Amino acid sequence: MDFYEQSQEGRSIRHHLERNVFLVLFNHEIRSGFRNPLQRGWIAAILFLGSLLTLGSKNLEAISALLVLFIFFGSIVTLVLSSFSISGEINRIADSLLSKSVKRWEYVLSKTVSQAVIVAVVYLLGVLLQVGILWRLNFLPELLDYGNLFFFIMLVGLVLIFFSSAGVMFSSLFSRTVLSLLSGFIVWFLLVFLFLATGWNFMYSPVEIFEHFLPILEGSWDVEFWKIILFYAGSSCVFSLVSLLWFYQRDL
Amino acid sequence: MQSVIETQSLTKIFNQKTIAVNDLYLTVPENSIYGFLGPNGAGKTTTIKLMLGLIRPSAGSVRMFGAPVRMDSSDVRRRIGYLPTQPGFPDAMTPITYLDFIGKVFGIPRQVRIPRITELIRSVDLLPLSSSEIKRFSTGEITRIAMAACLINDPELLILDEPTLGLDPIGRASTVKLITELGNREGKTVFVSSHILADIERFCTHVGIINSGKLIFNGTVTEVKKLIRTNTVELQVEGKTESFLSELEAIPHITNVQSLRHAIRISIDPQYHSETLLDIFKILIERNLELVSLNLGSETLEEAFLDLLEEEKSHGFLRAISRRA
Repeated sequence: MDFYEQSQEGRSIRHHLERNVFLVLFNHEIRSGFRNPLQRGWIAAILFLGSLLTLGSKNLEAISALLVLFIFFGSIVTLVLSSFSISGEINRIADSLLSKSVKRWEYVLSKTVSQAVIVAVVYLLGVLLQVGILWRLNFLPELLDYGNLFFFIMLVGLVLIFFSSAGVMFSSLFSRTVLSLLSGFIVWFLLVFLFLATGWNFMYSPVEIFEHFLPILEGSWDVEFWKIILFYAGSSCVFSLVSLLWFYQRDL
Repeated sequence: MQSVIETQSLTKIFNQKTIAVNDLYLTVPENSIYGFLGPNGAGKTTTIKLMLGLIRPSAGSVRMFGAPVRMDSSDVRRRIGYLPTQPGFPDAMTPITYLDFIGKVFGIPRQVRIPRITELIRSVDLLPLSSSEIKRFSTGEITRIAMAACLINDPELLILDEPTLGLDPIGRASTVKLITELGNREGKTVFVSSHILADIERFCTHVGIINSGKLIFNGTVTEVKKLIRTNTVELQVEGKTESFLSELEAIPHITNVQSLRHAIRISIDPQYHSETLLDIFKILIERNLELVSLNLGSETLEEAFLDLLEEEKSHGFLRAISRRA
């Protein structure tokens, strides 16, 4: 039976989407990502703490407090979830899928993109919901530059995507999830915890970005932002490329 | 006969230390049920993974349906159904959602996929469990759902890695029956690895025996038995055997006759094995002797397999030296 030549009639968008292996895998990853108990717990925590902060402080501080949560804890949750993405499936589902008509780039790219999308959706939903409520209730300052606020939100989003891509890369590099988790934590330690604990200044650290929350909103932080954007966006692209190239030649 | 799988000098060395597959030349003919035999750690699963492009060979090549297999040969794999030893499933999936997902991966259109899933669930007898989560399934049920998944694309070639491992006698029997039906009735080529010789003997037409990464036999089941057939026949007869022994010695191609306590051991020239046996039976009938038992040497595949492994162990070193010379 040749399945692939059948059903010539009524080819809908859905039909084409269902025949694209990358989109099928992406769709599957998104669904299982949101079913993950850790992800669900994190979403519940964000919604609970976000509403507490919003109703508690009733001003801009609520947003900055929620962003702190995302920078310090959201990055860890992202790292943990993405570190499991590939190494957790080797000798299990990965073998099963790659023995079928799935190409390696489709598999890795679906992991990288879906992890980034999940992180971005959870983050943006949480933060934008809070901003929306504060704005609706007139709790935000009248002179607030919303352009700068959304620029800051985007910067933190890039930081989270950076950690998500790093996690997928380590997950692709190592067969053992423990090693990919450990590598992710080392990156987190060097980029976040180290600067938080020592107070050292490093333009590319998320701590430094967060400490300049008000100057960014006021537009007074004198720094070349393109370098920061390039660092996070470029690193994410490099991580994705490394995971793709490494996975392409590795034994399963 | 065209070959579906063909490997040439296939070699896999892990971490430059362990030789898992060593210079393997293997041919699987079309429409055959090929049993891939070997003890644990012989290199069966590594060979299968090399065939599917899941691991990269250190040397040599694999061709399937005449096309070379590489890490990204998804077109070749589209024509294959693979059942791993311990199949893994995504969390929180039921047989229906899992088969639907695999069907989508193969790009099977919805109007074909849905009836196909129903048909497969029914044929592997999982209808009552079709809405239960797979993670709660027993080993037998997991094997059945994995078997359904490897049949969803209606493959021309089935690669089954230890399909009867961990199954109870009923599960084993139904798996054996399914494989036999797929091979005989559906005309599919089946490549099945196992170390359970009784299963292989029951349904395979061809057999390959691997030991320490080296293929020590590749041919039909009959050929493997013939290869190690002993030239000795043991008879146990009732009646007056004195003259019978002298008459046996007179048969031209019998080289030796030994009278044991309960039996007679006869050595035959292997070239005239069948004719000589016929002569022996003629004398038995003429003398009106009752044949109590007859042992024709290695009758089972198990004995053949063990003999070949033993031979490989004792001659492997000599063969290596002679090849180098």
